[in-house]
Amino acid sequence: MDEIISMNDVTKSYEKGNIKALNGVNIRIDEGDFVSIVGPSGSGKSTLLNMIGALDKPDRGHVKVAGQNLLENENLSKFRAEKIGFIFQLHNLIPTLSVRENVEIPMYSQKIDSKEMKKRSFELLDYMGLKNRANDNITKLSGGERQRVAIARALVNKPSIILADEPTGSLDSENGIKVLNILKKLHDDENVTLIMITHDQQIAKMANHIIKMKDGKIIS
Amino acid sequence: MTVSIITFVIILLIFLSSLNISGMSTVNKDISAGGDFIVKSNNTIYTTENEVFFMNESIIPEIENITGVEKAIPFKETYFDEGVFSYMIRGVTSTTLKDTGTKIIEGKFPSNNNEVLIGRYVASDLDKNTGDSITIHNKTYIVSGIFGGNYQMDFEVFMLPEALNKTTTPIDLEDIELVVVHVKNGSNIENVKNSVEELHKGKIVAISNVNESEEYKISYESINTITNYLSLSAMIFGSLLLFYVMLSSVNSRVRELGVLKAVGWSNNQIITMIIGESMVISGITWIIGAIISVLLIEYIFPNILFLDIVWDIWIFIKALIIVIIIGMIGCLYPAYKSSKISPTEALRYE
Repeated sequence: MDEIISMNDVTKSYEKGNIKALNGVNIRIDEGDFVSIVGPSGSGKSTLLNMIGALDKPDRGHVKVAGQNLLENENLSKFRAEKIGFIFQLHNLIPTLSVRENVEIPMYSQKIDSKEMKKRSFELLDYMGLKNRANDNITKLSGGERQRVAIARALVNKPSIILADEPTGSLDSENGIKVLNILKKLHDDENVTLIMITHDQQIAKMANHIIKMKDGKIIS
Repeated sequence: MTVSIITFVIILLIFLSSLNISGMSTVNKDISAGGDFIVKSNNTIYTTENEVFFMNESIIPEIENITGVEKAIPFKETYFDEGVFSYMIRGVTSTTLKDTGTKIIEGKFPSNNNEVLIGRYVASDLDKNTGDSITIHNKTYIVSGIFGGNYQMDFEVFMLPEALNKTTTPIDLEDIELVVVHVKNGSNIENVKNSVEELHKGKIVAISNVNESEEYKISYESINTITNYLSLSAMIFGSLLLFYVMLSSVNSRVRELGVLKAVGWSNNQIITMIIGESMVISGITWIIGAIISVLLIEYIFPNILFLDIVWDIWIFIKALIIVIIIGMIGCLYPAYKSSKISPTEALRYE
């Protein structure tokens, strides 16, 4: 398997250095891997995910994702649009838009024509079992349905890496299992690299590899 | 509320600009009082007693002898006060009536010195109809009819010249206030005007439009100045209001903007989105403002201000340009601020 993510001696601090979110982190993740990141609150899990997803830059160290050195990349938004799909704990859908419009948002950055946008969004919503809700406003959906819309949004640009930050954190157990099954199926069918943050040990065990963090360091 | 206020700004801009153009057009049409131009003394508040010039009957043959002049009609006039308004009284015969650019719309021309013909705006101001009595300079006259058709003269009262001479207000019977000049077909009006002014160079003036009359020009320049100041104030106020609204909008959508950045939107795309929203607000206000101002102008100009409506597409284009400027100024900083939002901080925003 080819390496898709590598981080060397990555350090990141906040509050003028008073909070060390990452402290000399080194990781290697192969393409197509399913990795869980676990650890207590404040251990640096989200910061690690933000580094991989090019949402933030380290104070020190190197980050290479999908063959690109992120510190040298001048156009990180384009990189994120092409390579990364984000799934957030609180889905972060836009309440004034419909289901389909929310799924299509990432495609605007790729300048895809409207016909293709509609085709892709309907295909994904069909995969998520939400094709009939395409024109409904997001506020009419349940929590589990919204998270499935968020997953569809994350996949719409066919990214090579999916980053999921506590994707079941705000869901009940039934919906949480549904979402996890979708993510697992995606990983198995599409061979995307899936990196998931979770507090739940049972969920973490679904992954091929588990990274444990504490105080900004990887402990196993 | 923002849309309402900026719409009001647009209505104000279009209405005042139309007022200027329609007002000038109406006065230009009526200023020559039915002829091709009028001749008046060039006396102003700065004219000294030695320099003051009054036209008398002798000026009529002088004017009529000029090449190109078909006829010159003299008008004597005085005025009377009713409440806070003053109305001109003009000596007119049934023959010279048409030279005033007016016609009788009700009743008939005065047949004796006890009758007067009143302009339609005098009739509406004083609530008079044909057959009513009207007191002028302590004498009671009967309204024989109502005339209309010339914006300025419709505010006047006509009576027979002999009746005018008998009004109790002292009047220099030799003075002519106004001469209406008709030019022969094929003659150049400007050349004839110049020749007339040469008769008493600097003392008389030939007028066929607003710009040739200091008296009218001052009024319209005042209105123009007021319009420009109001437009500028409206622009500044509109921009500030839109700035506040757009900034509030950006502040309330921090998390949403963070998501857009996280899924790959560039700073330029976010800036374009904010500017686009501002332009949509501007566009909507322009459309609503244009529709409402057209409706207002259609009603107010002819019925209340007694002006002919002159439509000029540039008024609407100017209003559109102004509203676009308001939109751009109002959204520049909010758009810049939105592009600087850090996605990681935005996603943690409550």
